[in-house]
Amino acid sequence: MSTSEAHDQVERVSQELEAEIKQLIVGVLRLKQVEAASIDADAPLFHDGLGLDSLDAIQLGVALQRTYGVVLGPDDAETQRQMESVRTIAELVRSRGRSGVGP
Amino acid sequence: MTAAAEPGGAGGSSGRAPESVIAFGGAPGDPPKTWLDLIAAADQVRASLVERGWQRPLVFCGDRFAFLACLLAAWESSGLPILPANGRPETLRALVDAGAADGLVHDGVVQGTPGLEVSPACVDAGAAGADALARAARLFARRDHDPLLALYSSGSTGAPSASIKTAAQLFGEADTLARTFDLGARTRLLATAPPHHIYGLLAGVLAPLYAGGAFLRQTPLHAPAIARLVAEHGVDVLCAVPPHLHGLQVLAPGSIAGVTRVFSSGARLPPETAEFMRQRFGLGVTELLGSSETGGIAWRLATDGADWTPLPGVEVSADLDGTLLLDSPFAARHEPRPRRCADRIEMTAGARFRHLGRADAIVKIAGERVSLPEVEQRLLALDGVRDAAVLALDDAGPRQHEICAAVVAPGLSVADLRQALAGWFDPVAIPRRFALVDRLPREETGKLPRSRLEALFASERQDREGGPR
Repeated sequence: MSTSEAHDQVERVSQELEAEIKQLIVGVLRLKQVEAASIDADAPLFHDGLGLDSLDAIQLGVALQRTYGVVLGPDDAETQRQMESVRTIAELVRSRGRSGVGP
Repeated sequence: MTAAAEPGGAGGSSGRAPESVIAFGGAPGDPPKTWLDLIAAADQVRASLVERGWQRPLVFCGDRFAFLACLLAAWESSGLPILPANGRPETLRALVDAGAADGLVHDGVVQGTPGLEVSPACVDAGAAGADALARAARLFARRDHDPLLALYSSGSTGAPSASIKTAAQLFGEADTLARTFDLGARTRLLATAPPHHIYGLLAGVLAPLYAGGAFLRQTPLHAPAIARLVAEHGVDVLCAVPPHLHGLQVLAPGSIAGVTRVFSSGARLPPETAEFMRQRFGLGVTELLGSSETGGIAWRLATDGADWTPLPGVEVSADLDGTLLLDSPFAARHEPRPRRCADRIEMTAGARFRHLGRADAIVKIAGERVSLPEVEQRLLALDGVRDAAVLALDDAGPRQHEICAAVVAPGLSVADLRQALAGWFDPVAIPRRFALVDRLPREETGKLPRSRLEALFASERQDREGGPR
């Protein structure tokens, strides 16, 4: 496998994981009016971006732990950074989760 | 119930010891805050208020110690502190602009809004004046009927409404909570409910104060942070709202060992959350029923069944159509006695009752009162909005209600509407679903039947571009 092929594969795996996380967000939070695919992976999930609130944050944290075994925290500021966007969640899952999805 | 006592004075007469701990936590390494620290801090804030001539400071703090110091400062200068419904910039500015408050006092948690920033946590306890301890003890022993605090919340008619609290109501209820639920000098309480709401103020700040115990300065939200703080600080009492308890399910059994009492208020505790708390942590949840106008009304242990027991001193009855009639020392005194509340109940054995829900246009989400008419009026006030209607649909999840808005606003996007509302409301109060329509399905009379409004949200694919973005 060439370097660029390996890079492509890593890229594909991350995109799959991000797509999966988008589905999880829409499903768990029952966002009936949002298409998972339309969520921008870099856009903030809370406040300005997708406009999720603190209750969504709690539910999403529960779902991430159940699905990927990630451990959030240890404080709220860190949890906010971890769940800032689909991309940061994907990074968290890759670095700390027990999911097989990872480079 | 015995005569009034000072904080920590259950049985004592001279108030609590100057060196007793009143608050803990804060930044890593911060030493615990003592009663004397609080009094010294309040004294400094008081000087700033007096200098500005502020009698009605609008108080919003992220640190509960700073928060209490600001309240005490206002009381010590015979002022009336004002608590906002939330810390959103437009909400804060409007209260000052309308003259409801003289100016905003905060601890740095509010940005971009003019106000007085104070740092009570940095004040040296040695700065407390010689007579300050005695003055504070006298203050907290007050049980008079003069206005002591104004709490703004979403009113059912749409305009923000103030509940004026007196010492008899506020301090009386804090003392009653401490005594009824056996809080004491060893109590170390962690609250996830914010202190500017009546429940977070009473159960999360004043009840531990009156018990002679202490509270955590910060207000954590996520379960890992809660578990860490419980372990680090030896917390034994939690003061939460149902969705926050629901979030604790990520924790293993034993992760909040040491907690012996859990308060929940603001919304009905779902039976599955009560059952989870019992199974995972062996904890029964003490539910409190009340509101900012009425103060605390009743309590129940969630695992004991559905009936509520009135708090000591509170009398509850039902009129013929099932409306709750309340005679309570914690409710506004000038109301006719008994007061007719917006709640529907059914009396059961032994002066207990079942609560059948609220009869007005207020829903509570995570303990936050959301006035549907208020959301509607904020929408209607926006340039470009021609018509709007807001309703709450039942939600099967922990939030229990989902706020939906149907809006006629040619040229405006859902993002525009959300952004405009964000200046006024906490995120939980902002509609999660919008339907942008050409016109609302009103009847000829202009009436908008709920069924027609609901139908706009019946289809899951309704107005796909109208997602929360």
